[in-house]
Amino acid sequence: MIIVNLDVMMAKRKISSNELAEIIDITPANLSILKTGKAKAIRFSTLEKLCGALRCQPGDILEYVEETED
Amino acid sequence: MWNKDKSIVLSQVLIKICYVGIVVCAAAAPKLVELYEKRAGTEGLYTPLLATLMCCVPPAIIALVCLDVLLWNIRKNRAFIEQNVKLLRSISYCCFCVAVIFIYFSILRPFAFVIVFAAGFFGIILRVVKNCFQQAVAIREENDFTI
Repeated sequence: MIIVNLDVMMAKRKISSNELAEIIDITPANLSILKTGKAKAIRFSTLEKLCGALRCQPGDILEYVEETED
Repeated sequence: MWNKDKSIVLSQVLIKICYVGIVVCAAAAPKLVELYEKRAGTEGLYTPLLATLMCCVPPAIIALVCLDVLLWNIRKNRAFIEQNVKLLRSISYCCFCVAVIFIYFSILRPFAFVIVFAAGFFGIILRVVKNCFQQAVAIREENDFTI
């Protein structure tokens, strides 16, 4: 599964949700969907804006973790 | 000017008329069946026909209630939601239910098989529409959660 590490990057860059939402021009509600991992997909354009705003690579925000059966 | 809202209102008015029609027909069913028996000149049909018609009243009312809620949701711009899929499924079951009820009467009067076929056919059409709605709900959800 894909894990969204947006909150980690935001903490590293010391940027708030509202600030980031304003910079990348999406609603705080949509940013919250991304942060909480509820999003089903992310557009390249959004990813590009996020990477630009957080000065990072897509791999810093998205992480693949193999699912384990409990 | 004719528009989407007026079309929905018209459908809702038609549903209300159907409510009244069903209640009136259910109340007048004994008289209507008696009249039919006299006109057709047949005997022994009174009880089976009356029982068949009365058994069809609950699924008809359930289907109308579902249609009413469905139209209400569409009017509120909530067409592709999980509740509407369930409503369409219920309406299709009501159609199948009527088809099954009429099977007994169609044994007595073969022309009633037309009703069995029509109700079953409507049920199938509604199931296909339900499947389309289900797919649309999935697409809408994916679209809503694509950031």
